[in-house]
Amino acid sequence: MKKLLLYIIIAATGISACKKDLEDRYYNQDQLRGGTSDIVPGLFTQLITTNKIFVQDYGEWFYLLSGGTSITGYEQVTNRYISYRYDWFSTYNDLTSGNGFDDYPITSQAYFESSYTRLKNWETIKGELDKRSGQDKQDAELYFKLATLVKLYQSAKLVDLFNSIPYFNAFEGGSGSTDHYFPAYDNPKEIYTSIIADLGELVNTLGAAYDQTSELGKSTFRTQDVAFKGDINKWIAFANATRLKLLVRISGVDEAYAKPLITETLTKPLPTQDLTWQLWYKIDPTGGGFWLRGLYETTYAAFIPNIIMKRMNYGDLTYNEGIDDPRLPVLALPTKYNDYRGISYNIDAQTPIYDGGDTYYPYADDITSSLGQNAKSMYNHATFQQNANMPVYMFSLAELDLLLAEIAQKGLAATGKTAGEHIKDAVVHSVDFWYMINQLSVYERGTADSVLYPAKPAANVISAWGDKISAKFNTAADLDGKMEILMQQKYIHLNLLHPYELWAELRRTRHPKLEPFTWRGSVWKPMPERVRYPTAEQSANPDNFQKVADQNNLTTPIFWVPTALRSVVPYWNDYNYE
Amino acid sequence: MGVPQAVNELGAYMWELEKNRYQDDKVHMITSVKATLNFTKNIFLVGQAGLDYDNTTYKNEKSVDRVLPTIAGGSFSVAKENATVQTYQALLNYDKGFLGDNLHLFAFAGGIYRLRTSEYLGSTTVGGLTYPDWYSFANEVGPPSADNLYLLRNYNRGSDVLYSAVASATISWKNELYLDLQARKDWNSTLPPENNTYFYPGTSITWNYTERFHIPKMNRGQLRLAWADVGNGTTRYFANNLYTFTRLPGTDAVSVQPPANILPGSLKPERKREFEVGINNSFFRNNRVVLDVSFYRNNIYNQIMNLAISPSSSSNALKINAGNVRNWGVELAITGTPILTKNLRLDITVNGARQGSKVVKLYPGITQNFLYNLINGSAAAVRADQGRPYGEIVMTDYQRDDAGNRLVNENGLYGLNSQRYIEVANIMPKLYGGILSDLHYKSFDLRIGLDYKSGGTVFSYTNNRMFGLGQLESTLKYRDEEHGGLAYYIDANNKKVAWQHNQAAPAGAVGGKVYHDGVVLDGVKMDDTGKYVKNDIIASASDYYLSYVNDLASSFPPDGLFKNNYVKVREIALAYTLPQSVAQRLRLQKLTVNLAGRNLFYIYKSIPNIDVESTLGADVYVENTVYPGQRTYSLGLTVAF
Repeated sequence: MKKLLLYIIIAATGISACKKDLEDRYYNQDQLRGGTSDIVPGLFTQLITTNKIFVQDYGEWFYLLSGGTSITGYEQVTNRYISYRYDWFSTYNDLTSGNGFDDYPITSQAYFESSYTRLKNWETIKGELDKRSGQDKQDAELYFKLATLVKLYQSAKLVDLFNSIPYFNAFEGGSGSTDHYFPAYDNPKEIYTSIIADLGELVNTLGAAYDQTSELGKSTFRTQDVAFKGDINKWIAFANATRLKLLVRISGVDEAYAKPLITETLTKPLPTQDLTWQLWYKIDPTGGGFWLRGLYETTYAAFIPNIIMKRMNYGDLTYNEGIDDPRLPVLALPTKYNDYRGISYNIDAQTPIYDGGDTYYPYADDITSSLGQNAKSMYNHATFQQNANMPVYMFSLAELDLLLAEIAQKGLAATGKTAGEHIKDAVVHSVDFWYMINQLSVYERGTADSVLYPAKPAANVISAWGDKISAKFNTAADLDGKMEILMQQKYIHLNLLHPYELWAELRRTRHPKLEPFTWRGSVWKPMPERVRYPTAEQSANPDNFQKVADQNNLTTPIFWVPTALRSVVPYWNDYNYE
Repeated sequence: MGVPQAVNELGAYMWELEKNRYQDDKVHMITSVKATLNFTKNIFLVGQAGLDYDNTTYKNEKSVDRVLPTIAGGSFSVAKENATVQTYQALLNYDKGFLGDNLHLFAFAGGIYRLRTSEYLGSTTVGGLTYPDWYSFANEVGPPSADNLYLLRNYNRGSDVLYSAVASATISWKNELYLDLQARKDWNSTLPPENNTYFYPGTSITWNYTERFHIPKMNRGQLRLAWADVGNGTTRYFANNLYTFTRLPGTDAVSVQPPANILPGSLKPERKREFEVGINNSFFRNNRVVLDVSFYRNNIYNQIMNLAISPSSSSNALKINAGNVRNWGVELAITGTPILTKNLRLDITVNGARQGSKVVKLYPGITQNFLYNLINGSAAAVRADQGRPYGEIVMTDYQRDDAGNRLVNENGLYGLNSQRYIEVANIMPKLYGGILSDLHYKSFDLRIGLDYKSGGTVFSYTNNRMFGLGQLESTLKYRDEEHGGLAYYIDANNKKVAWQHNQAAPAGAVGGKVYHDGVVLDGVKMDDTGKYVKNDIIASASDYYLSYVNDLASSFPPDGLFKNNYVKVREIALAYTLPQSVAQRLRLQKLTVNLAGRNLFYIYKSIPNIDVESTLGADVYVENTVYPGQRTYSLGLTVAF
C-alpha cells in the first residue's frame, strides 16, 4: 500500500513537472507577456520613436537619394551632380513605367505598410483601455489620445503620398471582422475632413486628459514621453499646428469648409517654439537606422540644386553677409573655390563642367578632401551628415509662419499680421533654427570651424534679411508671384529635413518653379503627382485594391490640388530665372 | 544602365571573393546508447537515449573599403551557435506466436521524450576597423553606443519539448494477412498549454492474396489499405502572442512593441487525415514484372498557418487553424526485366506520380489566401483561395476588348489591365517521375536514369527580361526589313508614319530618316469615337521589346510564364567489376571501377534558354537568376575486403 502511494506521488510529481516544462517552453523567454506589467506607456514610447513617423528612416533615405530620380531629385531638394555619365537619367521624363520617376524608396521600404503596422500600438492601447476602469483607465486615456494624434498625423501623410487610402476600417484588424482584415479604400477628402475634426477634438481634450492622470501616471509620462518630456502643451500645439497645416492644404479645393475652421484653429494654442527633440543616443552615421546614415552613405547625391542655391547666394559666388541669405553657410558646404555653387538640371551644360575636371569627393568623412575637391556645394556635413545631435523634427516656428503668411495673403482668416510680416518672421525663425541645428553638431570641431560652424550674424543683419525677403514678397505682382517667394522660403527652410512635406506643397501650390531637365537636347518638365500602392495591397487586399487600381499610377493628382492648378506644370522655361 | 551596372556588380562580386572571408567551423556529433532488458522470452524493454549536438562558430572578416584619405569600413564578427536534440525513449515489447506460429502478435508500448534547444550569441565590431587586415575586437574604431547595441550583442535562444505515449500492435496470420494498429498521444510545447495535446490513431491492413488464391503467372499479389489521423504542433513560439520589450538606453523609458500578427484565439493542433489503398503485384518467373500502384487522399484540417491580410489592418496576417485542404494522388511504379539471360540482364523501372489539391475551406469570412508574390515587387501572386486548387498563379491580364482581342495604347503597345486578375496557371506539377534502366552484362553494369515532369508553371524572369532587352534570338523579329520590320518616318508631331523601305524620307520627316524597325502589333486600338478598331499604330521594335523591361513596375505579363515540362538525363553510370582472380591477387573480395555523370542534359524541356534547376528559386515557381548548370562526372573505385 505504502509502495503504491509512493508510486502515485512520484507519478503525480512527474506529471506536474512535465506540465510545467511544457508550459515554460511554450513561451519565448525573451519577450514580454501581457498582463505582467503596464504595457501602455511602453507602447506609446515605441510608437513615437519608431522610424518613418517622426524619426526618419535610414533605408528609405538611402534609396531616396541614391539614384537621384526619386522624390527629392524631382522636387529639386537635393540630387547628384548629374552629367551624361549617369545614363539612367535618359528616362527622366518617364512617368509611366517607373524607370523615370522612381517611387522605389517608398514601395521597397514599405512606407505604406509600415504606416499601418507601426500603428498597431494604437490599436493595442485601445484594447487595453477598453479592458480598464477607474483611475487605471484615466491614466491610459492620455496615451490613447496621443497615439490617436500620431495615427492622424501619419494618415494625413499617407493621403499626401497616395490619395485614397484605407482609413475608416483600417488599423483595427484585431477587432475580428473581415471588413477590418481587408479594409476598403476611402475618399481622401472625407479622410482629411475626418482627421481635421479629430485633431480639433484632441486639441480640446488633451489638456483635460492630462489633468485627470494620477500623479504617478504623470511622472511615468514625463519619463516615457521622450519627445516633449511630459509637456502636454507642446503636444497640444503640435496637434493644432498639424490641423492648421491640413486646413491650408484643403483650402484650395474647399475654401468655404476650411475658412471657419482656420479661424477656430488660430484661437487655440500654436507652437511658441520649434518642436524638435533629441534622440537618447549620439547619432553615428556609419551605422544604425537613423536617416542621417542614409544621407551619409549617399553624400554623392546630396548636392544643393540651383533652385535653392540661387535663392540664398546673390552677388558673387562667395558668401557675403548682408548680400546673401544668412542660412547659406550653415546649410551649404563651400566648394574648392571657396564659394557656393549649386548643381544645375541643365545636364547638357553641366556635363562639360564635370568632364572638364570639376569633380568632387563623394563622401562625408574627410572634410579636408571635401573642401579641397568639391566643385559644387553639398549640404553642410556638420549640419547634416555628421551631426551627432540632429534632432527629430516635428514642427517649427518658420513652418508655422509660412502657413500664416499664406492664410493672411489669401484672406483665409485674420492672423493679426500682414502676410509680409509673417514672411519676415519665417526668415528670422528659420535662420535661428538652422544656426541652432548647426551648433548642435560636434563634427570636426576645431578643424575648419569658420567653414563648418560659421558665426551667426548679428540680429540686425538677420532682421534686415527678413525685411528684404518680405519686401520681395510684398512687391511681387500677384498672388502667383507671392506664392513663388513663399514656397522658395519653404524650400530653404525645410530642405532635407522634411522633403515629403515640400513635395506635397510643391504639388499643391505649383511652386517654387523648377529647373527643366535638359538631356542631350531634350528639355523635359515631368510632374509626378503621387507614388504607387505597394504590391502587398494588390496581393493581400485584391478586391478593395481593384476599386482604386485605375488611379495606381504616378500622375493622378492628390485631391487637394486645386482644379485650376492641375494643368500647371511648375517649371521655368530656361535657366535665366530670377 | 546595362554595362556599367554589370561592371559594378562584377566588381562587387570580385571584391567580396577577394577581400572578405566568411568562416564557419562546425562540430556535429550524433551519439546514442541503447539497452535491451529481456524479462521473459516474449517480453523485453528497449531503452534508448540519443544526443544530436551541433556547434558552429562563425567568423567574418570584412575588409576596409578605403584607405585614403582615411581608413573607412571593415568589420570583424564572431558568433557561436549551438543546437541540440535529446531523445529518450523506453518501449516495452511483446512478441509471441500462437497456433503453431500461424498467428503472430508483436506489440509495444512506451514513452518518448524529445527536447530541442538552440542558442546563438554573436558580436560585431562597430564603427569600422582602425588598421586594415587586422581582424580583432581590439582593432575596432567604435564607439559602442545605444544605436549599435544590436551589433555588439546579438543573442537569441529557444527550445521545444515533445512528450509522447505510444502503443502499437501487429497481428499477422501466416504470411497472408497483417493488421497494424497504432495509437499515439503527444504533448507538444509549441502549442498553447490548454490545447497542447493530441491523439492520433492509425491502422493498416495488408493482404497477400496470392497466399489464398493462385493466379496464373502471378508470384505475389498484395493489397494494402491504410488510414491514419495524424496530429502535429507548429514551429517554436508561433502560437505566442507576446510583446517585444526594450529599455531605451540611457533613459528610464521603456519601449514595448506588439506582435506583428493577430492571434484571434488559442491555436489547436494541426491534423491530417489520410487514406491510402495500394497493390503490389509481381509476375512471371524471377519476378520479371513488378507493379506497384497506390492511391491516396488526405485532408489537412486545422492547419496552423499565417493567413495574409491587408497590412492596412495594422497586422500582416492572422495566425489561425485554417479550414480544410484536400490532396489526392496516384503513384505508380512498374519494374520489368525484359532481357534475362545468363550474361545479360536489363531492368527497367518506370515510376510516376500524379497529384491534385483543393482548398475546401479557409476561415470564416475569408475566401482568399495569398501565399507569396511570384517575384518581388510584382503583383502576380501565388494563391490558395477557397474552392480553388492550391498554388494558383494569379496575374493581371493584358488590356483587351470585349471580344478578348489585345488592346494597344496610343503608342501602339500592349498594356496590362490592373483591374483584371486572371488565374493563369498552377505552380504544382501534374505528373512527375523517373525512368531507370540497369543493364548488366558480364562484369559490366550500365545505369541510365531519366527524370521527367509535366506541369508546374514557372515564371521565367530571365526570359522576360532578355526578351525585353532584345538579347534573345527571337527578338530579331521586326528589327529590320529582313526580319519583318515595317518602314516608317517620324513626323513633326513625333508620330510614326508608314513609309516604304526603299524610298527616301519625305520633307518634314524628323532627321530626314526612314526607320525599318516598325511593328503593328496584333490587336485592336480605341478610335476617337471610343470604338475598338483594328490596330494600325506603328511602334518601333525596341519600344515593343522594352515594354517588357519593367522591373520597377507593378506587374509582369503572363508571357513570362512557362510550363516546366522536361525529360532530363539525370544519370549515366558505368561500372566494371574486375575478375575475381585479379581481386584475389590484391587480397580483395571485389574491385569495381565506376564512371558516372550526373545532371547531364535535357532530352526535352519546355522553358527556353535556361536550366530551371540551376537558378535561384529553382524548380519551384519563379526563376530570376541563372547560374551555370552543374554537370558532375565521377570516376571511382569500390573495394570490398
